Amino acid sequence: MIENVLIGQFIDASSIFHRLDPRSKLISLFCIIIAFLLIDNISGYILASLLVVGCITLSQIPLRFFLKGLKPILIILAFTVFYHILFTKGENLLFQYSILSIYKESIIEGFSIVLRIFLLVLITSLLTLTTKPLDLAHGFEILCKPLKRLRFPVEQFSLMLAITLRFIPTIVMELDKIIEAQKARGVNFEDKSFVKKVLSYIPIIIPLLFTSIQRAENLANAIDARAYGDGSGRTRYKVLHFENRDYQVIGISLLVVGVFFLLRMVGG
Amino acid sequence: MNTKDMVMAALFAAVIAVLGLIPPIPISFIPVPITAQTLGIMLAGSFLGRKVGTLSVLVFLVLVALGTPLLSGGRGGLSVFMGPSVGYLISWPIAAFAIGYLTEKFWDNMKLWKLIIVNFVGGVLLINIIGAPVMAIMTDTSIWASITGAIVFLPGDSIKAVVAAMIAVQLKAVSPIKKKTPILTQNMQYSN
Repeated sequence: MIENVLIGQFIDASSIFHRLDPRSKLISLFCIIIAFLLIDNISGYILASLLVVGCITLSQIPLRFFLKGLKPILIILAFTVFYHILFTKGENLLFQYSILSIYKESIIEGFSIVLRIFLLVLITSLLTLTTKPLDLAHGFEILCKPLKRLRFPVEQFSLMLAITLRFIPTIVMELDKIIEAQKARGVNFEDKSFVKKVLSYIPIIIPLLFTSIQRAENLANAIDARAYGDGSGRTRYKVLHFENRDYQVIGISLLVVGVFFLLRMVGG
Repeated sequence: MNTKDMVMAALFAAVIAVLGLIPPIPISFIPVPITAQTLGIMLAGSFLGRKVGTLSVLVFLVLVALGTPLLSGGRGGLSVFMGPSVGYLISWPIAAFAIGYLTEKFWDNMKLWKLIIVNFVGGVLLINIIGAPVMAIMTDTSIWASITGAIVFLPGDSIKAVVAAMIAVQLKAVSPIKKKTPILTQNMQYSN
């Protein structure tokens, strides 16, 4: 569990994506998401699919890790396809039986929506599969620096992310302890009726919140006592550097946006 | 924002994450199990108030986006925000804000039934009113179909709203939400 939270979905390999700066990955991903949202014709979908397949191959990460992200949304996507096949109207009638009529356009419509969601989910998985959460948080913090002008507390927010990551394992242990303690006091968590099961959250969550408040007070005092301030001007062990490959990748991503914009204008 | 607010929001984000690890409770007659995670969202609003509550939900969602598998069922990563259920995730900080705002409004004479209504409006109705249409837009299906689909969540969510209110009422004494009538004037009344 502890390793799980710190590593996130990160899979170690030595691909170009693993070596890129997290900032350039975030910027390029943003560009590519915009590019995919511009797609409105078959050639766009083919090009986007090729791009995604190419990126997945380059990442050297086994395909099953990418498919894991698709699994939870499969039911909704299947429903979407059926919905469009049954209810969307078109011009080219393919099949008719009493009130049921299926059009060519409706099948294309259903599958293209699902394909677009598939492509977006796969390309965004690439980011979190090749970057550790803390590196990503660091890159995110630097990219958000301009928001400080709007008085958004960027450094404080990044400190909060670090505190949360650090305390999840501690609170998991706390939760286990509370469940054991309540069982020793005779609280029955094995009750059959589901209303009683939901009510059994109460003797777990109340002590959990109590201890969290005490912990927060101690931690806040410790931070203040060390005169940490709001985290601005903090130095880091790991410093991010842009290299040639970072500029190249951002350049390629901008090019991709341009290509997809042209494809939409021309129509194909 | 003082240090205590910041730490409180961060720790509560961790609590929301840990609540997602509690095994979901299956209900026999509904296909959707009850998870404790949205209970955490309701508690963030009704226990921490609008500002710190919203902040803690935002911290949680950013961590999810950065790739930590914190959503119930071990889901996570930016890809979750590209899927059809993104509307539900976006609605969480809004729900925490709404619940926090209403809770602070009724704070001085808070009753259990008021808090139940607040949690139901903010934590059940608002989440589904934002989540279901966004799903319909993402999959380009009809909004009414997805709202009817959202009804299956209603029984479980309503029980959660009641449970969240029961917990928040019991923890009122230690909640960081400030009283509207300052404690100082109350003490002066005693000394008179």
